[in-house]
Amino acid sequence: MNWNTIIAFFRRDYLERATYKSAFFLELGGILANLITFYYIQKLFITAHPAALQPYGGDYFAFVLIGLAFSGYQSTALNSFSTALRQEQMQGTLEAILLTPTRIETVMLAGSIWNFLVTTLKILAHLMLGVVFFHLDLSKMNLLSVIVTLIFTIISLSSLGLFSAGYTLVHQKGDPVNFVINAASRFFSGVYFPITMLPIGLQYVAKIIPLTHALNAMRDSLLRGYSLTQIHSDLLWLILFSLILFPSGIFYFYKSVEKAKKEGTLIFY
Amino acid sequence: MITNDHDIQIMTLMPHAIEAKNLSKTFKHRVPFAPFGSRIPPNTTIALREFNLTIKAGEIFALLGPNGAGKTTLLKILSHLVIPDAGVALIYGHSFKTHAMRIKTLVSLLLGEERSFYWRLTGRQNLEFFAALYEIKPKEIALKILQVEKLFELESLDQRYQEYSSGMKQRLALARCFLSQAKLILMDEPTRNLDPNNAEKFRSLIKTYLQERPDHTFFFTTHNTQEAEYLAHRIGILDHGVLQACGSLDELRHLINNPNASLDEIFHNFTRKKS
Repeated sequence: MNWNTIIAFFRRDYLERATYKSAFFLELGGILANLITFYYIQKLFITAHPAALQPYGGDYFAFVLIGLAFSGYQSTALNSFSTALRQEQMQGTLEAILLTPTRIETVMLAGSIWNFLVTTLKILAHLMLGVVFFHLDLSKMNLLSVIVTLIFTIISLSSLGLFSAGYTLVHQKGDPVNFVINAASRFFSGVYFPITMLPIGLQYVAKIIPLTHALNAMRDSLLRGYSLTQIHSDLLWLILFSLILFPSGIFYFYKSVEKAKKEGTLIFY
Repeated sequence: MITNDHDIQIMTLMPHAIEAKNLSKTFKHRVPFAPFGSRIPPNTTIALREFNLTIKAGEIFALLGPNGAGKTTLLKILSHLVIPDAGVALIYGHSFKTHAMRIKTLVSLLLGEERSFYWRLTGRQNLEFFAALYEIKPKEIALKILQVEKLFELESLDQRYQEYSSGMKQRLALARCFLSQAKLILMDEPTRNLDPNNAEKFRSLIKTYLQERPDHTFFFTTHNTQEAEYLAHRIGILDHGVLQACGSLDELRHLINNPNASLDEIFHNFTRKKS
């Protein structure tokens, strides 16, 4: 992949978003409103000390803030590849791009970088607002564990995004399965509550969802300062998901591109 | 029109710009509102049927054809946006199966589509983006844009694309087409959105541009027979996905045994039979 091409996509996305001047402040307002809501929910149960929250220091606000912030990666990873292609299809620019010596996977990846950056900034905004205004304690954070967890979280979740992108190319519409996967895994993976509260059968379902292990490892790294050795179980799950899902996602995506070119649907919308 | 011996020499020495051999393409359309699980066969449209054509390097070729004849599909196959069901297209001797990216540096296609730009960006920002995708070095992009800006008289390059007139949009598309280093230039009805004055300007500009670059090949589709006659060395007539006739104007006249026939008459002769 050519660096100049990646920079060109990034610059294009920046310039386009810069034309919507109020969007930044609206998004920041949205994050703040979210945090205030959960801060008051936490206050409601302040004397309850639920046992399920004990492994996370008993602080529901810290628990849900990390869940909310990092589940954003799931939405981005699931949707941004397909959205990058779908937007080009809808705008009519995909055809013009594919006439240049730019591969379709470059369009997909380079067109998603902006979204991943924005998601990362949103996570940082969540954490910073949490620390500054809502007494979130990140003093024990293990940065190396956070970074390694983040890398395998993005790879395993993005692999699901490849399936979605392939579906979009062939069917010229967003992947309806995406919505279900996103909603279901937010429920099962412990974004809003610890999965130990689920019936034992459903806890097994939670085990086979990448986001569950991503959130576990992230909470342990951020709140408890766990090292790589201490989070190795969740990390191994994420690596396993990456090893299985990434090659199969790539295979499905290339097959979809070939099918779309044969059926002539690649550039239609 | 071949102008001199030098042109003939170049055209003889270079490999063919395009060799289309038995190209066939049929599009299947799903039947809307078909009951779930039903076995209603999809509707089909035959776009190309065993299409054969060879274009020499340095040649200017015009393809005429009624709407739906398969002209755009052919251009999309030649630029690898669509894969044919059967047959092969070689560009300067390269096959898409093995040298797709190499071919993309050799081919440029002008789309007759206004929606192929980013509407919220300026014309210059759009050209900068596509220049990077054409792998033009960052240091050379500004100069290259300046060249096409002068060539196509792009007077409002720093305005947003959404504010452009149809003529300006078409000129920007032309500018993008010539940003690349391509030697084979494909155009789908290049003067469709231009007023008569701008269309005339475009034709003389293309003619001058190609006379200065005799190794460049120009393949365009049009409904304008005068345009085809003015620009092209050879003309093809495509109807129902089949190349009905191909040759210089005199050769086409000879095919219908009428040495004084206009290109309009020739076109009607070859397309009326089928319809």
